[in-house]
Amino acid sequence: MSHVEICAVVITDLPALKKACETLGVTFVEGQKTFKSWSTQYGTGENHCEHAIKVPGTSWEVGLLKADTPANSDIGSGVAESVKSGGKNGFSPAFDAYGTEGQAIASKLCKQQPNGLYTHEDGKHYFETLMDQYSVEVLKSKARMKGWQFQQKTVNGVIKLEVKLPN
Amino acid sequence: MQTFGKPQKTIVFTIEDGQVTVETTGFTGTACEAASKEFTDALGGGTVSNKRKPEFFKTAEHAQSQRAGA
Repeated sequence: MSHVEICAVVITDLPALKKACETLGVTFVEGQKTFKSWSTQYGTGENHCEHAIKVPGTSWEVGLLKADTPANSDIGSGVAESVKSGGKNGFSPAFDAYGTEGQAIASKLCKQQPNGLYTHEDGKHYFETLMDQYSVEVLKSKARMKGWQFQQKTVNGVIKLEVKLPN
Repeated sequence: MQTFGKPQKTIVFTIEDGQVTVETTGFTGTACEAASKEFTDALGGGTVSNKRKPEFFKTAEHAQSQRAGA
């Protein structure tokens, strides 16, 4: 073994995100500029985003924001806004986690914690399920581009992707 | 055709909780980091940690001493 590296993930590859959404049974809507939440349902404000994700079983949506923060945004009853400038060259998912509408989204795109909730101790949602599937699609796409063989397996909820290089 | 004496070069990605752990095997020296860089760059979030195994330095030292002796 030569080295072990741990990498963070930021959404930058929209085709890979679209494939990840298809695999998870949700719908990526490229270019949708607003997304639904408590604030839009009750008319207290509009959420602005760059793209959106529709989740079956709820009218509320996930917004993909240009953001300086990683994927952990719970907008609560407030409204979301993409950064105007200076943000990372990527997108951060955001949603309202409140009530049954929010939970329908969390249960699909976030990892359930040992206490049964989808919220972490810091009160945030990290979209682990979405980000993991997105990572798989990004890595598989790169392997295909290089013509390298790969094998994917999932053990106890952990995805492993083995890429073999030509000698 | 089978190549004897050459270990298979492999990159294993472990994907869990929104992070990706990359492990390389079968490489010599810095070739492992070069091979995985295109993948890790594509993940977009940068490196959280990078540990080079003893084998990494052994092969690097070996190559260095070979060059010195050449």
